[in-house]
Amino acid sequence: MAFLIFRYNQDDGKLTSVTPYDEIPYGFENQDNAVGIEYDYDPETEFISALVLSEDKTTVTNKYPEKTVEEQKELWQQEIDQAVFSHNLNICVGIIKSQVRVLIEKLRFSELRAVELDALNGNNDNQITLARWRVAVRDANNAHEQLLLSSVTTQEQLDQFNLNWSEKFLSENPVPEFD
Amino acid sequence: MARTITSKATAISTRTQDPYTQPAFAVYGSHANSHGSGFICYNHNLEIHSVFTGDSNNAYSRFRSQAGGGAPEFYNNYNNSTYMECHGVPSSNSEYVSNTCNTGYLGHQNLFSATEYSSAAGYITTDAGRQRKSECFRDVMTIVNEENQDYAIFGYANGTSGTLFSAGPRSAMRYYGEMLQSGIRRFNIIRTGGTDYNGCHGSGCYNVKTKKLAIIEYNTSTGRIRPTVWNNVPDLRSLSLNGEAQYFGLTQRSAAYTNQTGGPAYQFFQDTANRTLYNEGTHNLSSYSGTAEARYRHQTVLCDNGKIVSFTMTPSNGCVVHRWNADGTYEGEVWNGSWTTSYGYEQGSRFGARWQVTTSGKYVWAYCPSYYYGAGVYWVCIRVSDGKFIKFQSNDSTHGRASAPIGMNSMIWTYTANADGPGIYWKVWELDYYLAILADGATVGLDDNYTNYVLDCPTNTTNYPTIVPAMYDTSMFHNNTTPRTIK
Repeated sequence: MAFLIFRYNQDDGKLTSVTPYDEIPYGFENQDNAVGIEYDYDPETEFISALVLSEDKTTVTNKYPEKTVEEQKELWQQEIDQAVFSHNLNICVGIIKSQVRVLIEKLRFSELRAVELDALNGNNDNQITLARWRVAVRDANNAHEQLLLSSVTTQEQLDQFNLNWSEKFLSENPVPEFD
Repeated sequence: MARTITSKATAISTRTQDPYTQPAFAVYGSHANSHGSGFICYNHNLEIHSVFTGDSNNAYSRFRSQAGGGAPEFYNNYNNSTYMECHGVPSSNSEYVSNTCNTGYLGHQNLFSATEYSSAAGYITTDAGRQRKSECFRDVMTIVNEENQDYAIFGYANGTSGTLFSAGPRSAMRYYGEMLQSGIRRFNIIRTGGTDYNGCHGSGCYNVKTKKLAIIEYNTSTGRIRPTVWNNVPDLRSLSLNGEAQYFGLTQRSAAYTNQTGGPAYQFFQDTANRTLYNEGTHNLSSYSGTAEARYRHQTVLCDNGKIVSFTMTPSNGCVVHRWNADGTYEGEVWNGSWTTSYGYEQGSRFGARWQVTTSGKYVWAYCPSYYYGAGVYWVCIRVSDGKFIKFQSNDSTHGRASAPIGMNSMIWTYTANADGPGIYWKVWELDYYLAILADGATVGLDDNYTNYVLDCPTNTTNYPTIVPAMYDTSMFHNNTTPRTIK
């Protein structure tokens, strides 16, 4: 008989670990994010991470019934890999988006000059130039983000994907400057 | 009432400083692509020591941690590199800063530590920098019963010749630059196990109280390990900090030579009359998928009573704890934690088992990831006086664990979960208490009853921070009237 502890993420309630112990770990108490239960665990027939708790957290079941230990391990690994890939994909979307901010920050001085010159000239030509550049930045970002989401489906592809779109954009679309 | 001002000097006979006000660890967070990066350092009372944080925007009178617009060189060039970022979880990734194997006696592989004299809470290095530092984390051997933990000893696997031994300051980069790169300040300790024995990396322990040095050797024929204990060894702290001591007796040469082959320390470790051989263990370490880690790295504690406890990461199996009796007989494998795929230093020197020691020098904890490169943990804490140990395992495929010594006999244990809101998850464990009340080999619930919403991390939004152990003056915790004196 083993004492299993199921630990859950405090943020989203997802199961983060199932660990077998030969005794109740010192200091352990059942809590919302950690549930301990005695279970007749046999590592010869069950992979520990294939075990889950029922919704009322009273019964242990195997989420891959009828599978060998090796098959259970493989199925579990596939789930983990998919979760990691999704997480990493989100991070990469964030990295792509963050380049918009970096580029737009480069306009600070140009924005001041554009307003000043347009006031003197009685038009808004320079401000329109800046607005168009900002729109182009966002369009380039959206296109790159879309390219990532539509073309990358595996971690290997993600590792190869070049997230830096802003360098090429800047070389083709220099920051507008006004004399 | 008017004060009397005199020009006469005031005599001060004693000067005191509270050792607990020294830095203990820094929380490191980085979301440099948009949400800032930096360090918040806490002292041994968990009060603030120092802060060093960069802004993701250069308009707010702080240094900029985001690429572009004048960020410092490393932040500018390596921004968004996974090795310094906290926006991802270790899981099966090999790079993240919060990997379980990233902290150790030498601090943090990817980051620099605060010291008792530093004003900043920490700083970053480059990808190449952490690779170099990690070679030192691989080689550093344990030191126990030491009040002055200002030095480190290193062992480099030298094949059938034995163990290339170095002693120097407690500095990963000093070891890398002077010993690994330049090849000075090191000499070979002969292998003593027998014909098939090879030297290992970082597999030894210096017990200051008993003046003994244990060295583990690996038998390539049987797949087993065997300790040698060197008795009445020279003062290794003196050897470490007074570099010239290693060269006493050397002859000036006109011809080139590589490793040191002279001096009293070298001579001592060539004489087999100075050593006691323990029996070979019976656990075959040659069959694990990550053979180099299992064969050639053993986090070892030489206890005051002569027992030896050794923690070995066994990649894609878990870990094995061996223990030898004081008479040199092998007690056996006292724990084999197991779960799933994991990797040791055969995948790179930045992976594998690590160790740390309490300020008192009386409790050593050794640990390694349980999932791939840096998630989950196998952990043991060994009482130096008698070899009693407690253990913990977490089958966590997502997050890492990071720890540091705090106070005299305690360890701060942190869980690198999402700190967006709660800050870092932590708990201080009084190791002398738990080693006293728990049975030998008992399990302690390190992942239970974390505290959060107390220790902030220097970034925001979704992030998985880690901690960086500080390099403080441990002698101040002891009644040592002449700290830092080198004999």
